[in-house]
Amino acid sequence: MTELYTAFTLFLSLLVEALPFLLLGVLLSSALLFFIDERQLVAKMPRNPLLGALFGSCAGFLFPVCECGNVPVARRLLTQGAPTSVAIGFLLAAPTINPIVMWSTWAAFPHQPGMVFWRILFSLIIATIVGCVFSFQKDPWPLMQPDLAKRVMNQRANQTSTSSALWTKPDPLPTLLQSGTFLLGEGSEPVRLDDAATGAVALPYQKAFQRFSRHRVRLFLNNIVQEMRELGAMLVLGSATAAAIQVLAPRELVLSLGQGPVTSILAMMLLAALVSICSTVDAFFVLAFASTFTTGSLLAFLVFGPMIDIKAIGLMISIFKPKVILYLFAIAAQLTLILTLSYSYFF
Amino acid sequence: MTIPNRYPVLYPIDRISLGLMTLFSVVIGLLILGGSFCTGERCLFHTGPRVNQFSWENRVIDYRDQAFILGFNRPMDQESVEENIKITIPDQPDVKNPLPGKTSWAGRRMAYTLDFPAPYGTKYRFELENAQERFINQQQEGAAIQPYQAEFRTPDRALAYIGLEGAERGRLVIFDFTTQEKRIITPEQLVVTEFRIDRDRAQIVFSAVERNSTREGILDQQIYRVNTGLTREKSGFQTGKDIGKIDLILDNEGYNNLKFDLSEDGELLAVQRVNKEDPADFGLWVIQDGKQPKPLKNEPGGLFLIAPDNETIASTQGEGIAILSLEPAAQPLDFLAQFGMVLGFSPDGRSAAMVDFNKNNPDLLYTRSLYLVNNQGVQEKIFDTQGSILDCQFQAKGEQMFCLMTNLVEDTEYIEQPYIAMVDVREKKVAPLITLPKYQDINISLAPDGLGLLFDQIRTDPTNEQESFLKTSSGEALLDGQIWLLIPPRSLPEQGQGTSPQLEELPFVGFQPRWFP
Repeated sequence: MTELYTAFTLFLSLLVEALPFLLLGVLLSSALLFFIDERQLVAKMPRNPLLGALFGSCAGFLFPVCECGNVPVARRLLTQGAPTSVAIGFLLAAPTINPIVMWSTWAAFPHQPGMVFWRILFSLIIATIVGCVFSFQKDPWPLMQPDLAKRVMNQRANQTSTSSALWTKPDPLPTLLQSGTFLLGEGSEPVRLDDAATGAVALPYQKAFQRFSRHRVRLFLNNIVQEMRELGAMLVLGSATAAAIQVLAPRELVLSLGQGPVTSILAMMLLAALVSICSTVDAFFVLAFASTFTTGSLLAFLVFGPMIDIKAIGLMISIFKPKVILYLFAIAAQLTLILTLSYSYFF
Repeated sequence: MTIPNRYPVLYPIDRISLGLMTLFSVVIGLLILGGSFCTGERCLFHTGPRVNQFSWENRVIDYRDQAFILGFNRPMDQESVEENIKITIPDQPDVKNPLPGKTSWAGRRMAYTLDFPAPYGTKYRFELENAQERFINQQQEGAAIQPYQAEFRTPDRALAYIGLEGAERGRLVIFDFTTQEKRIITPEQLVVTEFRIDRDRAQIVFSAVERNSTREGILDQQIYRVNTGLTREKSGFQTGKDIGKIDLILDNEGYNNLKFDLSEDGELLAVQRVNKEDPADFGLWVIQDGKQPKPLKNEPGGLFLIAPDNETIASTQGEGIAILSLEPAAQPLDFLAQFGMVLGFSPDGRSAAMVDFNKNNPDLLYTRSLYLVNNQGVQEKIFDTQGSILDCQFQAKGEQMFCLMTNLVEDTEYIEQPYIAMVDVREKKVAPLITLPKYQDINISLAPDGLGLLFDQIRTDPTNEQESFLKTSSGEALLDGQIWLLIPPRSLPEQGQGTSPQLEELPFVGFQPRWFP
């Protein structure tokens, strides 16, 4: 019974900690849709895989979100036709390479400025490499969930066929024959609400970027509700899983695995994945282990944790196929181990 | 009709991901096994723990450096580290454990606090090997540390005094014990009356009179600064055109400069001045960071000292001691009515040695009491004496003081017999170290490392009326003076046991000897 209480407490604390950031991410994502001309933004993104991954990694400065808030923004970037490398770079590095996380890491390790430097550098390296790897896959079907892949394909088709046109219907079928959710009274034809996620719906309102309208606010709010419903559910599931694992495999057990430079890194990576703590506060969490673990293993926690944790996996399933998440997880984990072990040996 | 397979079995993402994962697995394997690829004692790379911080590495440490920090990149077996730390003096291999101390741990960092300040003029070598890592729950012996070695040194042992013989007479002389070099650093035309050495050793602030001045004698003194040529960082006298360069800091225009004091950081100079036209215009002036001098406009006072915080001045005022801020015309920050004299501050500035003349206590009339007063206002009496308490200097850790005092000897007439005593501040015990033949303007100076105490013994010539500047406080002309070095014991000698500290007459003729900090 105690375990159940503990699990419930952990579940609630994870959820309460993450929800504001998810909301922030959804707000940013919706703001991207309605207040920024995404087409221009996406058009300006570098197409070169390396530059794209670097750009995406550093985009955390524009959208300071933690690992719960980055998923909706990354999803938005993908659906808007942003290069995969940009989206992956953002997904992996934005939770670390942003001013809030840099400040909190500095505050937690004021006498070890290297922690901030190495955390950023390693995150950047890993995000860039993984971003480049994913850019090799031009076709989104093997990467993404079918629904999302379809949206991406639509978007890409739009980009190529309507580079000059202002508006093209995404589907030749009359709207009455289509399934889905539509908004009526938004012009001569119903507007597909699902397309809000693709950004297509923004097009009729492009001229309205400069002005405030009730319709835009309503669409903005509708998008927030839709994304919160989709991602919030995944967050609840992810938090529940993380809480259950923490109860079944207590932290002490994980920590006791770290009995050497390699195993301590592995233990801290495992711990990072399990505790699912937000990147804005994880530096303070890991500070408690500063005296008993190597600096390399602390770095492993700080680098790997924001990239992949249990509740983030829940969110990422809404974008990627499980196999792809496994690749993401494995390559990031291997790179984290290589980099932090090298740090342990050579610094 | 066959349905074409829409997608190949392995997509590009599968191929590159699997390929990279294999490659990374190989790299991880190499990293893990790399420590085992050894030929003899040399391995491909070291996988054991290492020292990643030694706060005294290649540094010059002085009396303020009482502890070093040793940081490791792994949790360490603390016992094995403590057992394997080795500090030696390369030039004196026979000296075992020259810097004893205590260790304390905070996670992966160890602090080593010295029992006493590191003796000056010495190069030390720090070595650590064979210490092992230890993780939580680690049962087996951990990997051995990568051998670590670093050096650090203390500044040269050096002193300055005002010469009294030949070409040195009235001039500042510096002697570097470590390199055995001696230099006269003030010009012949200036007669130095008092001086203070800057904490960084590079400069000395002194008061001096033009040798050919015939007006008001010592009252004509001005305050100067001279570059010494010594530094903390380098051994021996440095060369350069600035060495021996004199700057006038405060002239005597309109005012006579009486006494001065220099703060420990060298940024604040306090001078007691009196208006030549209006003797009622008398008080302290301060010069901060090289700015224009400004009068503090406080109540007139007597003896004064700048506190170690470099921001307050303790000055005798009327029947007590006022703690003054540097704000002109400000009320004193505190007033200690009970005390009549402040002798010195502990290096951390938390306590001060003060003298109570017991004017309000009929039972102790004509008795003086030495007190330790801390910054919380707690006053602890150390001892009473019928004689005088003239000067006290704290040892760097603030646990001991060396005081110049006198005993009242009753013979055909009362004679004050000077002696130097060691005072244990914690135990409040006093142990006389040496009795001096005659009290006459004795100055003492305790070495920053606490290993030597300098004092002077002057001879006067009462018949010499030509001497205008080099005089005792009673106005007798200085003939010559010996400078003595007293090497006190490390701890207070037990009562009844022989107290025979080493005493050595130094080959200098002068007075006011002072150690370089």
